[in-house]
Amino acid sequence: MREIFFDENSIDNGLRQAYKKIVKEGFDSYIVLAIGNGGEHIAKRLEKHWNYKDKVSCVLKNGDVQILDDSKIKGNKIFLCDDTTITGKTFLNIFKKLSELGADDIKLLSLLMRRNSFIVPNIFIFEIEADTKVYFPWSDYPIRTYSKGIVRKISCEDCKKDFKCGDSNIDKNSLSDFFKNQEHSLAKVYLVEDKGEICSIVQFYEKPLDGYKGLFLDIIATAEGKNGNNYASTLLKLISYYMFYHEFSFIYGYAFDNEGLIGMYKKRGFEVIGSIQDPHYGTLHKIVIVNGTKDIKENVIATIRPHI
Amino acid sequence: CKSPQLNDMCIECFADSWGELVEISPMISPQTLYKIENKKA
Repeated sequence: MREIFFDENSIDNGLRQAYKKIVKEGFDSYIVLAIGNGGEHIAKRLEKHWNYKDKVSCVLKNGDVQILDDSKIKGNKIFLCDDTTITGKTFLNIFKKLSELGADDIKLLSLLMRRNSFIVPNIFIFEIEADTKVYFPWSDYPIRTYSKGIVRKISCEDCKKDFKCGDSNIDKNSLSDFFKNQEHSLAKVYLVEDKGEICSIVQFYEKPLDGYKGLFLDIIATAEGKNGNNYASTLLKLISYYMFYHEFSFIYGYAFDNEGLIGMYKKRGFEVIGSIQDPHYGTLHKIVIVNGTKDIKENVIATIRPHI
Repeated sequence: CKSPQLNDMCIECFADSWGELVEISPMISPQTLYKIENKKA
């Protein structure tokens, strides 16, 4: 995954040059409509170059389009501003809404467009690849904090150490097994070490399934006597952030059969999408959490259910 | 956050709530259980 950070200078240069195109195309008599927070920032910076006659704001909430002061739309030419065009689907909703309100003409400026977008803005300044994460000065930066112990990958030296979580099945899996999986099976193995002891360990895999990229959480456990210290939470934070910042669509794993426990997983947003019966271990339930900021949950689950 | 986002929570809170369940019962896949069983060769 690539990351691009825009600074104020590159945005200002881009908008200054874009303004010349706005004038050339005759869009400078239009009313500006700022889409969401990103659009507000673009409109504010455009003002330095363009003394536009009026501005309307548009708020997006849970997919709904709310145009504040929509009395300014009817019979007017509207110039939409946003920072990013990812799929362009949002703009379709806005175009529809503006047409219903009687807009005379609609044009769109986006600072950048993601390649393969359904909508091509009338003016855009940069084009980015699909797997690129973009940060503007007004974006939430991807700051991650892991405050418990030291989070690190398993190392060869760890093979001499002992890790017991109290579950007889998991405890048959030695730290050497974890290390071998990391070195030879593409497993991602991370642990939390605190005061020289291994307090929690996680093993997961990247798993593409039918067009979606997922993470398969194979094992997570906390060392005996270390419960109540958020060591497992630290590693679950790591895999959750891994899903978001590497653009994975879901995490799935298995939970032991326990009615109360499965109910608690559901309460926390997990879907139970199947069960496996085993004569030795009883029932294991397949649980999935979907990255809802990237994909529609129902679509992901319908696609992956037959495969996992 | 009702307490990136999951289940209407920031990742910090989501991971904490998931971690509570892992402390009740760790997670392991059947594939790995079978591998362990076969090793126990």
